[in-house]
Amino acid sequence: MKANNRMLFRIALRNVARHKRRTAITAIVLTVGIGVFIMFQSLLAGMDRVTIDTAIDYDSGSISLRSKDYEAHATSQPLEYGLQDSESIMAGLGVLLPAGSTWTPRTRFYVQVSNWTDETPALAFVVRPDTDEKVFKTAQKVEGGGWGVATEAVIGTDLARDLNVKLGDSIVITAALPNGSLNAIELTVGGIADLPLFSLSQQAIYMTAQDAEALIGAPAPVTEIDIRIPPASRLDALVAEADEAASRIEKGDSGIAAVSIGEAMRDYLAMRNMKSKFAYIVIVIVLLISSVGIFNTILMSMYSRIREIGVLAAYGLEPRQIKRLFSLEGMIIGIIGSVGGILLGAVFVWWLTSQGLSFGGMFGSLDLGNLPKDLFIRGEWNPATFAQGFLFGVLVSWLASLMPARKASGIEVTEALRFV
Amino acid sequence: MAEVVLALKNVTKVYGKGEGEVTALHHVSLAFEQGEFAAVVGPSGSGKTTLLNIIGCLDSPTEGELAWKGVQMKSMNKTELAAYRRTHVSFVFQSYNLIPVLTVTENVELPLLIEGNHDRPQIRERARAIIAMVGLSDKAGRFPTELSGGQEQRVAIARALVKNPSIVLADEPTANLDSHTASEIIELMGEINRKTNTTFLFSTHDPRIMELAHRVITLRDGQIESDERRAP
Repeated sequence: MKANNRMLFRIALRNVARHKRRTAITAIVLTVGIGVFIMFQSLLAGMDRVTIDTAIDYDSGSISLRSKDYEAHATSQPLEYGLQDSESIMAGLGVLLPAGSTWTPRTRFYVQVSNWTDETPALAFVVRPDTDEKVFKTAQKVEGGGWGVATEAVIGTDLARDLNVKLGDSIVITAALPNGSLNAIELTVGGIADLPLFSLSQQAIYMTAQDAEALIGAPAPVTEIDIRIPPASRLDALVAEADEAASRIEKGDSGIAAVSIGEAMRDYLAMRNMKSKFAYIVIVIVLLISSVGIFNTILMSMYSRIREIGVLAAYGLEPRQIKRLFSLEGMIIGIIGSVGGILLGAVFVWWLTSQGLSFGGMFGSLDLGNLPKDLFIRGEWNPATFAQGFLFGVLVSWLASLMPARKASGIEVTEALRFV
Repeated sequence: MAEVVLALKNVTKVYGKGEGEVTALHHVSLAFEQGEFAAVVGPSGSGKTTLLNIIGCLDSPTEGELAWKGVQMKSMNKTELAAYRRTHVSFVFQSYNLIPVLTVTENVELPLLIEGNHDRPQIRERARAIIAMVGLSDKAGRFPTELSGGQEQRVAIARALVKNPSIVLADEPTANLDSHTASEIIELMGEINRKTNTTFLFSTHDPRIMELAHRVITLRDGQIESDERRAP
């Protein structure tokens, strides 16, 4: 016959409640550790979200279609490898993409830009305003009226500053043509775009198809079709959906390289996994510290109750049941600390999601690579992180209590009853 | 003649080894019948507690045999001995040893719960009846820290009786009590013995308490000096 587990639970619970201060101190360490872990993960998820969203909104969309030849020479952004028959490709996208997806053609190629005195390399984008604004948010960042206006160019804030040009100034754009010759046109700075990505703010020049045709002496080839799929609540879901859609597109046309946001941000996402591992290392360290506290608490509890153990054993409680009694105490402390941890974590995450955290002042004009300028992060709710924090806390508490529990179960009854 | 519930045959208990070796019991043979109210007396170090521990299956003899209702204990392992204690033996301790986080009722229910009884209403009813028997119905919801020493020992007696054991072993149950309360406790145990025919074996130093026993076993240096029976 087995002893009543409810009885063991009741004794364990009351002993934990009886030593309030000891329990509170042990549980607080656990609470803070789990709370910080949840906050850290929320912050990382928020950073991922803002990074990926910025790349989608301003650079490549959720999926970017290019010719395989262009993709093979992507570092030089060559004009000669444009997409063949881009109109028919775009006409067929509707059935391959989730409902609500939008797309736009773009031409991306390297140019030199000059203010008549100094010259610097830049990245030219030929945009079709009517469809571009359905995919990208670039137009929303333009100061001045030059977006989509012939003979006018929109340039990034940092590029304007480097060239020392302002709205209405003229610039000269020179392009190397596929036949090896150079051609140039003069455009007016019709708009300056305060773009959140350093790479674009320092290099981007947006021009119309007519101006591009004048520059290269022929209609500008479409070098990429950028697609925006509807947003998902979870970043992982968005990346997965983009991967699936890209795969469907590639299966339908062997000449197209469909680069999903997950693939485009592969290096960043790899770094993100490393950051996530760092968060796990943090919680492991905190939980190790907590486990020492729990170990000590259960050991103290055991030593203060040796005679009680003797009485229970004298009345027939078996060693494994005594072990269970003390393990339960450890787990109860773990549950209290873990519940506290997820509540504290919820407060942190609520604050991060409602108020956000600005890192703009911290980094100034430092180039943060994929991270946007004026980095402002809003936390993300992730139930899995809360569940992980809770389970880690309870598991570690249980493990930490095992050794003292085993020690309690091994005490000789007669010695325990003699203990003063 | 009443049934022999417990028999010790040539029981010897030795603690330690080599020069530190101490013989606590030396060739002790005893038999107890159902319903006995017996005292084990003797000076400190005479082997009283060791005898009670061996009878209660808390400790095992170095030599000799212990039989409960004809069942030999020698071959049993710790778990089997624990199972035997759950069913047949109860203890009353000098320091009461109540579980401080449990109320009087919960302390009394404890042996039934350890036994694995899951019938909550039956457990509660049985505990209430025993608590009433020891005169503590009005304290049923109190915690041990809220009771006097005498009241705590009454609860310990109720805890010992709740599972209808074959024998109650009490190691100096009155040592921490004043003489008046000590007499009350022994009288209570005697009354329960008469009413329920439960066997009681207690160790004591107190000559007034010895007088209430129906049988007095005197130990000296681990050996039986005398085994005197008196009319109840």
